[in-house]
Amino acid sequence: VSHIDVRNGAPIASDLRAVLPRATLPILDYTSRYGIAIALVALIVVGAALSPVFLTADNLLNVARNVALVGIVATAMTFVVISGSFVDLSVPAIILAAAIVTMFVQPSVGLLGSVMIGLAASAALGLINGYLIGQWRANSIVITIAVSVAVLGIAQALVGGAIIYSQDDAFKSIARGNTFGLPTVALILVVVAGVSHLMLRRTVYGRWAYATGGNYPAADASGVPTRRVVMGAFVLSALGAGGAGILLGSLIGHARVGIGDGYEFDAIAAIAIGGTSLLGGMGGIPRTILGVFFIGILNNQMILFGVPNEAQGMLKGGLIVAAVGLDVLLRRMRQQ
Amino acid sequence: MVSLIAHTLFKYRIYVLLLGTLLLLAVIVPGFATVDNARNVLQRASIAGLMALGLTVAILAGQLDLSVASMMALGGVVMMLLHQSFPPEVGIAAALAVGIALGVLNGVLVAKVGISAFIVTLGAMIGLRGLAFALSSSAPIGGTYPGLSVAVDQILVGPLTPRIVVFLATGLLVHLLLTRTRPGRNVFATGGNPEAARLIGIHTSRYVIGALALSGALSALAGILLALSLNTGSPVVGQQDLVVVIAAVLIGGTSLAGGRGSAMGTLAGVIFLAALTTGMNLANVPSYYQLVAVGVILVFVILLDAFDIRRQRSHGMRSKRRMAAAATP
Repeated sequence: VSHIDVRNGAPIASDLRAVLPRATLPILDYTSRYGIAIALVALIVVGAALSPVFLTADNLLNVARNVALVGIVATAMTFVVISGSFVDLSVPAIILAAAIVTMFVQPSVGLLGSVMIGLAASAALGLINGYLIGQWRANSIVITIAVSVAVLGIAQALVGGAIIYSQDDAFKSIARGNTFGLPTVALILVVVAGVSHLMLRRTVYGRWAYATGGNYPAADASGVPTRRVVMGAFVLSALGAGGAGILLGSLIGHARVGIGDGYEFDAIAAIAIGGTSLLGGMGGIPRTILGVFFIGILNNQMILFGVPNEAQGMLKGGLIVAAVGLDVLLRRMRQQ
Repeated sequence: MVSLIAHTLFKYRIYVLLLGTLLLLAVIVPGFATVDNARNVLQRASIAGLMALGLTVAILAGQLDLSVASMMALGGVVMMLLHQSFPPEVGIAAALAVGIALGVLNGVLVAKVGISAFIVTLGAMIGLRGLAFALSSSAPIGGTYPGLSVAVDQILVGPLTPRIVVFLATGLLVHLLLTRTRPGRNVFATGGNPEAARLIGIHTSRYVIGALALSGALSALAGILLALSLNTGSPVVGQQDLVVVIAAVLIGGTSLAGGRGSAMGTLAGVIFLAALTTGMNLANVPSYYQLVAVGVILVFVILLDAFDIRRQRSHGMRSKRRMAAAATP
């Protein structure tokens, strides 16, 4: 706002009036800014009022355990969305590949080694995505689909197209166990989300990610290494998906085709419902976490209230559209 | 001359790829170059192909439609549900109407409310699959008259069956619609540059709604044909199809950015993928190596596209610079 006439260091009120949006009902302003938080509180209040089970520690820990894996995937994919590359559809393939690779090498390299190799394999896949999308500027939807198809094939060829089982009880207890009385997977989500939030808000990489997603040509022209920022976002996203895949393998004790299906769309839904713009440059990890818990608590309540399985899909689909639609409408009203 | 040939081959690369693959498979895979196998390939291509044709129009108008496979399942379920008590024509008409209505709903949410098509059709993908499960009580619905599958799968002449004829005829109609009519041109304009299209007086929102309605209708038609073929309306069909459909459209040269592509390219893309799968099945290639092959080909085709766009862009810049140099005294 360089055209504001600044005298004595303070902008003149009349100039400010010209550049600021016209004042609207404060309530509208708050709802559109914190819509997802308000909706989440409403959901919790309704749940607490209607079900005696909902607000018990057991049930809430249950919710935390259930959302942890999608939460990790969604947190990591938030980097891709914010840096303006839309979405990472290779999540299911990377989940499967990480689970298969980890279990495949486990007998020979041990627990810690296998997890490291699983994560390294995921990062390598992310690097392929990131190179093709960042360096070649190819479309992220197509590239991540193409890479998925190839990765699914390679991962299955590795184990001959069959199911692979884990024989390591220590591995299987990771995702099922508790630490400090809390589900271990939920604590992992807290750490992943915390580190990701700090990366986005407190590091140069984070600032670059917002700049790249907000206005690519401008960021490029001001010396932001946009191509490498995009590449990094896909590596981070793949690391999140790979971590979730290893935890999923630990949880169910085996890996077979299809275990990762649906995680990509659940993560995208959580990110969008949280209010992070799918066009990039805006949003953040707290919003993603709110979105994840909104969907998780909604799923939990649908089960508690005995909503039939068939109707759950319809409700979820309708709700994703309604949540984003409401956000669009409120933003439009605020601008008028 | 050499560069002209290279240029032409590059421009029509999808057809070169299709012909090359067909020739290669015919030579190395015994039993590939037969009329029976050609029918197999086209039967396989027809269901994904109808969805891909609808998706092509949606993408040309600048919108993605992730709901095609769910819409297909819903179309089949609606058709078979009504067929329990009505003649098949009623079920077919109702399923098509449902496809159009839900496509219009998608379009209105995108064009009038302003939600991104990705989100709207993602919601529709999850929601319509749920609706298909709800309508069928999560169980496949069997047909009451076994002659139905004969009606769509009987051999007419050579490799053709009614199902294949419907698919190829629809492809031709969509091609004519896109290249020979004013609405078709306006779809390209809407997807290529919506702002410019609006400024020259095109009702862009109408074309967005129309494109998504067509996508819904063709997906429902695919579901109807599959339900007739199997004599069953099942809510689970097509759960793996979305990726194949998107891949076929992209291999066919339609750009996700909108405004660039063709129905003929999509036809070639669908037939290419079906021929490749059928050929590899005949040669007993394990399914996971088939996936690797398709993935690598897909990356290759996309990179050629990216290269093409970059080349055109730099070419445009060079000619602009040349014009600027010529204009400077």
